[in-house]
Amino acid sequence: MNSLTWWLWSISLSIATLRTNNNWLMLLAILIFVVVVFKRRNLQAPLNAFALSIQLAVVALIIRLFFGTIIGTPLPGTVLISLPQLPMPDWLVGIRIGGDITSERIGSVLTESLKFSLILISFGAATCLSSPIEIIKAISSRLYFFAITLLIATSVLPQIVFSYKRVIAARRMRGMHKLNIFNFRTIITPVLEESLERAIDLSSAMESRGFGYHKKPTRYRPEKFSQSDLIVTIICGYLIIFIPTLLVSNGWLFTCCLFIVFSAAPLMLTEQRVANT
Amino acid sequence: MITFSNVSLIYPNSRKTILENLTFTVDESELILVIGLTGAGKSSFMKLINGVIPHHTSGILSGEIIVDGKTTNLLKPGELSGVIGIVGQNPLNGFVTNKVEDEIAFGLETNGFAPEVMRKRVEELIDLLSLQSIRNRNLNSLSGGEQQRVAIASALVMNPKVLVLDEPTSALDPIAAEEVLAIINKLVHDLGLTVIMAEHKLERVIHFVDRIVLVNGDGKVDIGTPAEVMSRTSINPPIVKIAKKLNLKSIPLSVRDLKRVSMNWKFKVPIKSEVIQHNKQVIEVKNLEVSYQLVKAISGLNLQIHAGEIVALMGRNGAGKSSLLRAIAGANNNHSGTVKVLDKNPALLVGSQLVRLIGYVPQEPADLFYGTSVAKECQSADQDNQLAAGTTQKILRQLSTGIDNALHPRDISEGQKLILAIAIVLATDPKILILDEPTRGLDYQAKEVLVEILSKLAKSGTTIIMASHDVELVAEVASRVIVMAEGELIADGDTRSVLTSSPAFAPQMAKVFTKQNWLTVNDVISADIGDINPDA
Repeated sequence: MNSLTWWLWSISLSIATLRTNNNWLMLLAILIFVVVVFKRRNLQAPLNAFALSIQLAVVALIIRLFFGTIIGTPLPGTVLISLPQLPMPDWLVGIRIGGDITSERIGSVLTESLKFSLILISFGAATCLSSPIEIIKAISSRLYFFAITLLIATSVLPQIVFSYKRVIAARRMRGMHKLNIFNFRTIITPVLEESLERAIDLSSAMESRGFGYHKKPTRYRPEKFSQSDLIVTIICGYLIIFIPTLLVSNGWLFTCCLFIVFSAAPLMLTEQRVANT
Repeated sequence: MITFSNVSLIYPNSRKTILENLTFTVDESELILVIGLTGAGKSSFMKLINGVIPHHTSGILSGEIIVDGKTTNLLKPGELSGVIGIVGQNPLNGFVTNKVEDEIAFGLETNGFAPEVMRKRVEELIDLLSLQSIRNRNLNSLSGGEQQRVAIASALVMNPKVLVLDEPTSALDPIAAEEVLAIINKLVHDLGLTVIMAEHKLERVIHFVDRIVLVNGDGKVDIGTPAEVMSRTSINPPIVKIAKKLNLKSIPLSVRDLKRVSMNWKFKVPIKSEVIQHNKQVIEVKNLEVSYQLVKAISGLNLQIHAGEIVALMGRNGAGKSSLLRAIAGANNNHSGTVKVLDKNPALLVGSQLVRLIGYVPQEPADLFYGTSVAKECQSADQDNQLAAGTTQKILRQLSTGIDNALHPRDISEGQKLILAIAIVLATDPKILILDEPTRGLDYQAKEVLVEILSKLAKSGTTIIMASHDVELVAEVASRVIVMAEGELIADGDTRSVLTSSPAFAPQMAKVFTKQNWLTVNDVISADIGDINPDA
């Protein structure tokens, strides 16, 4: 499938789910992302990107849950626990720290946090499913500086992970094994210096091959916009527009089944990518 | 093809002129070799040709450089992409895409060639550089030589008149380097391409270049045929060195030249190979296995290393050398089997216990640096290791006097970076010194300093293990050579027997004097060659 279609699919799947405001559907969407990424990921894209997005999503979820239940405007409802409340000055009415924790409060915070996590995961999935270079090439003729920045970032980022590991090892051999705020500089300095040098190298290599000098770049083997791309695009549009109303009018089971079938369409329409060996 | 007229180059905030009033012409389909000590301005010279200076860096340039009728002062590097192809030191750093075919096509795409033309050009280049078997591979999965071949293909795809290569073999093992140089030779002879190439390992190239440009670093440039320039400079490969020491009239440039000259030489004393017995075992590796995800880097390796040995690890890129070094340094946690350094498991040691036992100089010495100046770097090394103030600085001065304390550690030359890293590591007086490819980008002078440092350390009882592609350096300094392939030891023995038995790893002197088992220039000199006719 075309890289652009993969992005479209990831984004519209998350938008459709966000519109329903339903925790279960959001969890289902995350599950679908995980399955599709493992089945159809681009073998040249780093899987780390997806793993990283999931880690970030979990961390964000926990932090938001914690602060959302402790701090914020109170929601009336069933009280689960009552924490001691910090007295607030008069001009800060409506804000409270501690106090009654209601199940409604937890529910609303959970939905909000899930939404945020879903967006993170959908971006991670899109990165893994598509080829970043294809995306950049698609925009390179229009937005030169944006494209060159993106291109350098995508090729330097994996390098940063690699040199970070190397520097950690080198640092251990200088007798430093504990990491804290004061000596974090000892890692970040060599890593950043190296990635800067590399970025400069790459940009001058691209320049010397004529990147950005020609108004209309051509494509050697353009990704085709095939029938399955068209089907997925239509399905995505349908999901975004109708899922919330379906949920209201047709009930749970039907929506879930339709949701799974439609959102997993790329799995059925595309073939397993074969590893290059 | 390329004309320099009255070219001078100086960097702002620097009093050193790189080039001064240089005028010379490179003819069509000439192969020019650019040499000079690191930091002398070789790279600046190369960058002038495609206009990276003055368009990208802040060099102040006077005079004019004309390439194929185009003035580089007026045109940006990108506009010269159809005239000049560039190949860098580390091919991976210049790759834009991830697939071989896409990478070759990239230049054509950005320049808006029609798809049919692209198809044909890419196919031609794949044939020319024999890339057929790897055309669909991921660039990261290629060997160093293959990567460099792809880089050359993607530079040639624009049909340039001139190919500029900046140390194309410095990151490659000897076999891959030969592969790349053979391609360059073929391009010059078959296609009539003009090639400008910088290279440190002269022994590999001087016999097939047309002229040498020696950048002195003080503004002067010496240009002439290889024999002329070699006779005037002290930057010499072993073959030239021996010719000079024996006062030969004509300077040989290849193994073949010297072999023909030396056919009738009579050697009085056959060299006695002194094998020093090292008894005290310091490192023991048993059944070591290292794997990364599903790839086995080392499988079932056994090894003992004794005190005072200088062990050289050789073999292709990816043969498992670095993995072995890291396992000995305790930096791998993905290995099985036992590694014992002085009866301790290095993976369990931390902090000062570790650095007092093992000194490790990584492949990129700069990984160790985080200070803002050489002096501060030394100070923080003292603090980190709880040493008396000035210890590291003192060791640094013993190793080399030429390093400016005020400079940023990233701004000193490659050789100086290595020496600074060695000084930091030696400050704690480790029993074992590990160096991972210490000769990358080092010139002959820096190598001589390194040889001296390592020999001294070994005499005082330090055990040294180094991975290296540089056969001449290994021949000079190592007492034992281990050759690895596919994660296994395939040869292990004293330097003389291992190096002379393998054609790929034989140093020049061993290739010339096949019967005598000599490795270095000093071997030959000390063998007291009888009456030779210097006029021959």
